[in-house]
Formats: sequence, structure tokens, C-alpha cells
Amino acid sequence: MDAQVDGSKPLAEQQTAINYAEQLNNAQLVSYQKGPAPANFATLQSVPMGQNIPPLLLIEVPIAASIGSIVVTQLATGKHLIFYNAVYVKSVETKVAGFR
Amino acid sequence: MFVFHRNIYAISTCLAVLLSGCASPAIQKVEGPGPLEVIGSSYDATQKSKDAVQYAALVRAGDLQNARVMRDVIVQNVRKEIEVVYQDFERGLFANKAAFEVETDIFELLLSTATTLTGAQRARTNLSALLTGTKGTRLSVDKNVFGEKTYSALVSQMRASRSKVNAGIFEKLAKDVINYPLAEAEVDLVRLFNAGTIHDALVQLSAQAGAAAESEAKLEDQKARTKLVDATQQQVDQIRAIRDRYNTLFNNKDTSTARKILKQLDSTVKDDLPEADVWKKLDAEIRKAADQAYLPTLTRAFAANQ
Repeated sequence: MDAQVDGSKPLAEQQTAINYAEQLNNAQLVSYQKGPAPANFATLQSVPMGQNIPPLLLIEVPIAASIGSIVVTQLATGKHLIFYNAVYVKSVETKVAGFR
Repeated sequence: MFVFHRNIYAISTCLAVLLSGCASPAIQKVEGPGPLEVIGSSYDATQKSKDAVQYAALVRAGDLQNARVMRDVIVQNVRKEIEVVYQDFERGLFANKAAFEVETDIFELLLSTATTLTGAQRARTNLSALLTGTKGTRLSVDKNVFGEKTYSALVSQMRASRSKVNAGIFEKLAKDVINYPLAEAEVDLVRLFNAGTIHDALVQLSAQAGAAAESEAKLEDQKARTKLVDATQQQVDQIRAIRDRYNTLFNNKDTSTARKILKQLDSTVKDDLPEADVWKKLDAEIRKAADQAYLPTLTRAFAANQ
């Protein structure tokens, strides 16, 4: 399922929009990247009936920050990196990592 | 039949001579007076050559201020000639557009290109290439399309391209001869000449059409995508709880409870609905929460059948 998210919204709102869509459609996010400003393009893939979809967590990665350290931190909580891309957050191009 | 070709030879030839500073190349016999001769050119290749020599001497002597003056004199004079030729060309196009025929030798001849113009031989070679290289490689222009609209588009494009190059030249003339030497100015003058050709206009229009098509495709892609609705965390928690409950029932093959929930949501559901269809229909009910106003109904139905 190809979808788009309003990149003019804060990251937390984009996260809830995607999480809602995942549960609604029984599909999980596999790709998230910026589209024509300020839209972000999301690709959701259907999961088999009966399979639970863990919550998606979106984290903004500041320029000076290390994605590696963020990944390590999230791994410690049992979450795995599913994407790391430039997306629009409040209409500003921002590096964002997605974990599940 | 569009009979402008002899003037095009004259145009290309005269400009080649002017910008190369050489004596007139013996390319082909030109029939009739060219536009420059008719209008009365005041700046010919001989004069330009003298000015260029003077410019070079001034630069060598370190008299950059006067060298700049000489550069500007040369540039402005050549610009004037290019302008005169272009205006004559555009007038000719307009006068003959009703009889404009595509896919003819005459059309090919309008594909003027600027020569690099550093010598008579090269000018001859370039123009010969123009004559022979374009034969057999006609532009595929739809005759039906090439009408009033396309003529206007071409002229508009030529004017726009020329304005752009002219503006660039004017801006650069504010620089001294170190930062904008005569040689660079001559390159820009060739670009100015090119900008006033149908060939260049067609290339520009094609590029714009390509960019527009790409932009259109991106817009179409965007339109085809589902826009995700905003949701509160509470709504996310509600839909997750519903989906988790569905999954539990599905994994436990608890069709009975699923059927009860479905019946509560859709009273028209038949009691003997096949098992596979129960799960499909219940899933479809959950997806109705795309309209979040349906969420409370779903929550009640699932909660009532724990």
C-alpha cells in the first residue's frame, strides 16, 4: 500500500498516523522517505492474518548525533532499525530513524 | 514553400565572418542580398578584427580600463548585428508562417547552429556540416501540430532564451577584462546567436515538456497515494486493542465469538456464513475505522464479546 503522510506535522503526529494506519490495514511500514515537499511517502506491506504488529517508533536524528549509538540504545529495548532516511518534519528535511 | 533559405545562408555566413574576424569564407554562392547588406551593417569583420587587435594590445600593455572599453565596443557592436539579423529572421518567419511546411529541405536549413568561429576553414567546415549533417535526420514534427500554436511557442521560446542570454552578457560586462575577457564574451555572443534559432527553441521546448511530464508524473503518483489520516494516541491504542483481539480470536480459531462480534456490527450477516468469510468480513469491519467516527462502535462490539 502506497501512502503519504503530511510532513508539515511534528514527528509524533506522523508516528501516530502511521501506527493507526498499520493496525487499520493489518500492514506494517517497510519504507518511509520524503516525497515532494512537504509530503512523506510511506510504503506499507500486508502481514498475515493473526500476526501482531508491534508499535512503530520514529526518532529524529540530529546532524551531530550518531545513528549507531541510537541503534544500540534501541536494540537494548528490543527494537530494531527498519529505516533511516530524510523525511519532512514540520516541513523541514530531517534525518529520521524508524524502529520496531 | 518557405523560401527563406538564401537569407539563412547569408545570416550564418555573415555572423561566422563577424565572430571569427576573418575574411568572408567562400562557402556557397549567395543569391540576393543578405539582411546585413540590406539593412546596412556598420560593423564588419574587418573593423572587428582591428578592434580585437587593439584590445589585445591594451591588455598586454596593462591598460585594463581602455581594454574594457574596447571589449565593450566589440561586444555591443556584434550584439547589434545579431539583433538585426534575428529581428529580420523573426519577421520572415511571421510573413511566411502560413505557408510553413514541415519536413522539407527548407525546414532543415532553419536549423542554424553557431560555428566556433575561430577561422575561415572551421567556419566553412561547420556550415558544410550544417548542410550535409542534417540531411536525412529530419525532425519528426507533426505537420498537424506545427500550426499557429507551435509557431507562437517557438517565437516565445526564442525571445525568452535570447533575453536570458542578453541579461547574462549585460551582467558580465560590469566585470573587468580579467574576469570577463573578450574571448569569453565571444562565447556568449555565439550562445546569443544560438538562442535565436528554431533548433535551440525546439530543444528548450522539449526539455521543458520533459520536465513538465516528470513533474506531472510525480503529481500523479502523489495523487494515487492514500493520505494517512491524523490520529490521537488514544485512537491508536483503541485500534491496536481491536486488532490484537481479532488476532487472538483468529489464532485460536474462535469463529463463534468472531461471528457474534460481526453480527453486532452488521445484523444482516447470515448465521451460516462460511468460516473464512467471517474472518474476511470482520477484518473489513475493522478497516471501516478509516472513518474514526466508527471506532467507538468497533470498540463496543469487541468489548461486549470478550
